[in-house]
Amino acid sequence: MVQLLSSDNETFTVDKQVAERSILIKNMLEDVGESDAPIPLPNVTAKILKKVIDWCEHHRGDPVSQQEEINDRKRLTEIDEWDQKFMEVDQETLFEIILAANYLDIKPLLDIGCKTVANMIKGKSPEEIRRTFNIVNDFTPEVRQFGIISHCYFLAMLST
Amino acid sequence: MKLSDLPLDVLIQDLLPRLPYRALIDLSKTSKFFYRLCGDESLWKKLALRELHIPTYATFRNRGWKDIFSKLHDPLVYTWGEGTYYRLGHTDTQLRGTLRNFRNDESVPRELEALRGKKIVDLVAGGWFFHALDRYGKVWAWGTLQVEWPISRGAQTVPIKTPTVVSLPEDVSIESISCGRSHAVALSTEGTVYHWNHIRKVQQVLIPETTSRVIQVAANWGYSSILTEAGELFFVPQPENALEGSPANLTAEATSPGVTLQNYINDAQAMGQPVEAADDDQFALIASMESDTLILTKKGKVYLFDTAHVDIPVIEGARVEPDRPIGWPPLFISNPAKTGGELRHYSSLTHNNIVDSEGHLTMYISAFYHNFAVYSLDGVVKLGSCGTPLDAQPRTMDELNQDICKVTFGDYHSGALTTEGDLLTWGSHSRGALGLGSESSPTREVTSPRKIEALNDMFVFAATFGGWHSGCLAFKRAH
Repeated sequence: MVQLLSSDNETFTVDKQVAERSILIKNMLEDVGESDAPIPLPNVTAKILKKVIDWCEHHRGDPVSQQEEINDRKRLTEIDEWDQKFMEVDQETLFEIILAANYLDIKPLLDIGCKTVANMIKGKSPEEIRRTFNIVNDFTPEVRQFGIISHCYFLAMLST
Repeated sequence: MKLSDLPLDVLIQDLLPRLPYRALIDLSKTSKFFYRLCGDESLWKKLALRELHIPTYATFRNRGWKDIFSKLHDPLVYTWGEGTYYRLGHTDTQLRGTLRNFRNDESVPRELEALRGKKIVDLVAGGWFFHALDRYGKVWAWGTLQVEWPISRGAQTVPIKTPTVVSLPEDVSIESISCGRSHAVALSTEGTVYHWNHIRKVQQVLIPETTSRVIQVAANWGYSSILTEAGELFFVPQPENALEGSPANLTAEATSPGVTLQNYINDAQAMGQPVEAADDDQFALIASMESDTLILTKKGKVYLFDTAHVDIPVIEGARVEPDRPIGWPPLFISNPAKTGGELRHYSSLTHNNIVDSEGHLTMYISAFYHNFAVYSLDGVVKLGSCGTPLDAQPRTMDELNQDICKVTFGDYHSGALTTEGDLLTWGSHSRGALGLGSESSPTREVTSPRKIEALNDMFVFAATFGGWHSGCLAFKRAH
């Protein structure tokens, strides 16, 4: 068993196999060897760490070196059902999970987080994207005009 | 926490490449921050490779992708040089040629109008022909394959006068192509390999099932080299001559087992040769020559192996009527240490991975017939040939000490493409293949690379030389 210490000083006890889904933790364990001392994770809160551990528990048996093929169009945004449910969280939490997955080096979880965000962007107009993510439109009117022109240009060039 | 608070590398490397380009453009219109973010070059390179199906190994280009992405949707195809065997594909010169110039040579680049609007993404020259790949994964061919085989037997001695689609199985989409002297080899998006020397008789090449996915194919003179993800190198002779009308063999088998870097190390050590190789190194990129294969490893080491021995039967005083090309089938290497090794002064000095953290290649190789080039991000192009000794110092040219993204070779003429879209050529006149028009003469060698002025208004995106002919893909420059 491995002890993990969140940034807000909560300790979690998990199986070594589960903890080692995180490459960061796996490397730390290899460096320091067996130890009872909890591993401090100063960048992850207890709330997020609990979510991440849930995910690692569910995916403990997955093959470790799952390479995500960014060139495979089908797999760019496909998410399986369990992971979809897992990602049904508020935006704040979603971004925190992505941040934690990046920090802890859990590539498959990072991929699922990014796929979830990509699916929230896809198929929306710029205005809808702004509303979804609370983005402030800071373009001047001239640039807006230009943006629209360049968009038409792109579509004309690329339509097949 | 907001979307824009995510680390930039997560946004650029993990999130944005998942978006189709339309969503990316919509996102870029939401705010200044996302406008700048979506303009990232590495992102557009990924997009161009994925959406336009540009072969990953076709170029060393690391800049200019955003600009190219918008214009490369349908580039123009140019061919020039020797015109025999219909290899340049220009239909009207064939008519004109019968009247006054049966050679149909072109000494400056000339647009191949038959391919206008066909959305070509890569062009590859062979011995007496060209192949082109379009965005939909179809392959076009023109010129003549199997030129040397007796007309009575050679099914493809009949020239392909105008670009024609190669008869690949209906559901197959090709990702990259490579051409030898009289055959072509192709890799599909599904990782299957095909080869042919007759565009209606395509064979699938069977690789042992136990191996990893094929990542690259490269045609040598009469055979092909095939590289897998795990760094195993396989060989396959070009298809046997098929008689017109006779049923074609649908499959061919690659030689097994494959050759790996470890095989070389073991063999070299057994022979008492000094070997300097990292434990976790492997073959990562190949380039094929007449009977040699140039290999770049993951750690930037460059190896050159004579990969096939061709036994030419010598019968004193008797003329052998070959029913197959001379020396067919070739014998492939089983002991790599006997036929080659590391080109030490061409290798990278560091042991860094040739793919950097952003997924860019930092080293690249290309080759054809007798010549090869090794280039790296520091901007130096190292030239060599099949006879280059393993301990030789690389040959360099001052004119090539700039951003070169592709070096290509014909039999006796060479070309280099800059990231800025200029095409430089040097070597033998080769009946106009230098593309310099009256500036070059058949009797004088062009010793230092010169820009093709005829293409001044064009941004050249891809260039391919072979035999005594040349070709390129280009689009109009914005003024």
